[in-house]
Amino acid sequence: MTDDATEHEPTRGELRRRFRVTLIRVMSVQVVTLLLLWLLQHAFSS
Amino acid sequence: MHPLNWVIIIGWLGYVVITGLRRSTGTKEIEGYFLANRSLPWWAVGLSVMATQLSAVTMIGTTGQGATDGMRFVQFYFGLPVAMVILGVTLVPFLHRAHVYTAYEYLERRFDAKTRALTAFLFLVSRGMSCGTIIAAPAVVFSAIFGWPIGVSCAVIGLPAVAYTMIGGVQAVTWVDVKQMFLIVGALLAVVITLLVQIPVPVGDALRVAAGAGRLHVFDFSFSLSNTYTFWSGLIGGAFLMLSYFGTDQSQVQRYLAAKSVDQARTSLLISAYWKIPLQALVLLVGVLVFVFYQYHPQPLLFNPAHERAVKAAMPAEYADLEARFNASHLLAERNALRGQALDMAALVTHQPAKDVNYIIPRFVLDHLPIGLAGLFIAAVIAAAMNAISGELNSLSTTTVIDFYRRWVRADATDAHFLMVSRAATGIWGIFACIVATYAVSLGSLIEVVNRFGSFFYGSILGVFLLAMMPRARALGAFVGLITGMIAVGAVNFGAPSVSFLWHNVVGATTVVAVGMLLSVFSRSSEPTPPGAAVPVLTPPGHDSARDSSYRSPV
Repeated sequence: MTDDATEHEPTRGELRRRFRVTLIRVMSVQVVTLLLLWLLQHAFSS
Repeated sequence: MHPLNWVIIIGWLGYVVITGLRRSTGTKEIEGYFLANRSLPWWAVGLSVMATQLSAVTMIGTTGQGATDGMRFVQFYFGLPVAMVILGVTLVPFLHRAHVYTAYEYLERRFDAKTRALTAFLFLVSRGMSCGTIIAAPAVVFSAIFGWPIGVSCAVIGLPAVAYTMIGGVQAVTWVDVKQMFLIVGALLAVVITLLVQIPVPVGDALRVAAGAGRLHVFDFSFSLSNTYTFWSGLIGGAFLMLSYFGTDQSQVQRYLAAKSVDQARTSLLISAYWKIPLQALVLLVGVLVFVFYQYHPQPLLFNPAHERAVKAAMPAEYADLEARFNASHLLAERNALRGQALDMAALVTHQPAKDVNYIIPRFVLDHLPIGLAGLFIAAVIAAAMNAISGELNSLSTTTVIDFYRRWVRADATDAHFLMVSRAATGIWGIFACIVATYAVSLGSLIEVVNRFGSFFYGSILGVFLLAMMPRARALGAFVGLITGMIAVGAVNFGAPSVSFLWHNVVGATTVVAVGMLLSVFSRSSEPTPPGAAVPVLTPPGHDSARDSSYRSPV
């Protein structure tokens, strides 16, 4: 991480790419979490 | 309670106050006091953001909800990760680069002084009151369990937080939050492990018992505007709520404004995006396991010991009969019905609304956790309350000083003067919160009123910030849109009371944007260009105007 003063300004393209990558990472973790919760709901219902 | 538990609680309280006071260095000017000179690392900010949301209500109310209603409450948070990612590329960079102290300060640059003043005022009213209710909720439980007068409970919870927040500012708040987060998560994990040891069946069987009673039911894919806990309410309504909360509420915005850089501010929010749902699931799981525990161990008919004592004294024969039938029953539905009757008796005797959900976990902790661990858990509940209070007090003080005192009363005072006023404001808000807490307890339903009051304008304020990102939006549109949004939410609340409050945020935000844009289009030709219009729009990072000198704080 860099300090704000020396941080370069990302372009719109970079921003879109960063948003996509972050969204995919965050949503991957959420999908795994929701999958575990779904398994918890179904595996012990029988 | 065993003396060792008290030693742990008092020791922890002393430790956090000392930690907070030691962190007061570097707060000789207001940027240090309110924003830690924008020097905090992302992980500390991220943990502080999570800690501010994790109040004592979460520790005792949400765990209790897990015991009575199961895991479905976790759906409430499904919109949070999406909201965090959106904020990371929209409002976070804008506000951080704007070098403002408060989110509302930006609105004056973009629109006008009255829009800033109104949004800041709404924040002060709702957060001031909600700070009181944050203290009140655990104070009621502690009073009932330990027999303390309510004023003493409020003081034990509120005063240490007021002390270190007043002296140390955001530095103290953040670093104490970090330490307390470890205590809270550690205490929750310790309780889960203890429960798994004490439940006399294998884990799989315990979970089957929970599933059989519907406590592991997480997902509800039905689309219902009246049901708060469905997948869609959580994902859509929840996303709007979280966008409003994390994007426009000063108690959250101030956390990431204190980060070292935009990247660090953004990354700090992602900690919540990654961990909020798993953490919330853990909190609910504690409750679910307590439910299972009580299927194998005797449980009280009324979990609130104060109500239990009152009913036993006023209606001894009736209560004894009900208790005998409860203990003899093995059917969950029958037990729930008998408990319902006992709660009705408690309401009749005490003339107070009798709800047991907040007492399940404290009662379990005191009756069944090993010595030391009970003290640790109670310390974690107080820690959670202090985290939420300190963050809110700090943001209340910031808004009071920056958006009102410095803006309207003394714009040209020295830093030392503002620092003194900021500390005084923190102290006054702390005392106000403790007084509100004391009265909130006796009024009962006030807590619910305050919570509903907040939902009246959360979405509408988000709408104003959305307008700020639209180049065509004008000040008149923003101000009238804000008022119309709140009226629309009020109309939905009173006209269609069955609609869940999560949807109020959607209604508020969309109304503000629609009305604001409509008015802006019509008023564009007649409205003069506002001062500072060189940077009227929340421009994305990378855009030249983000580095425009008029972005800097005017003072």
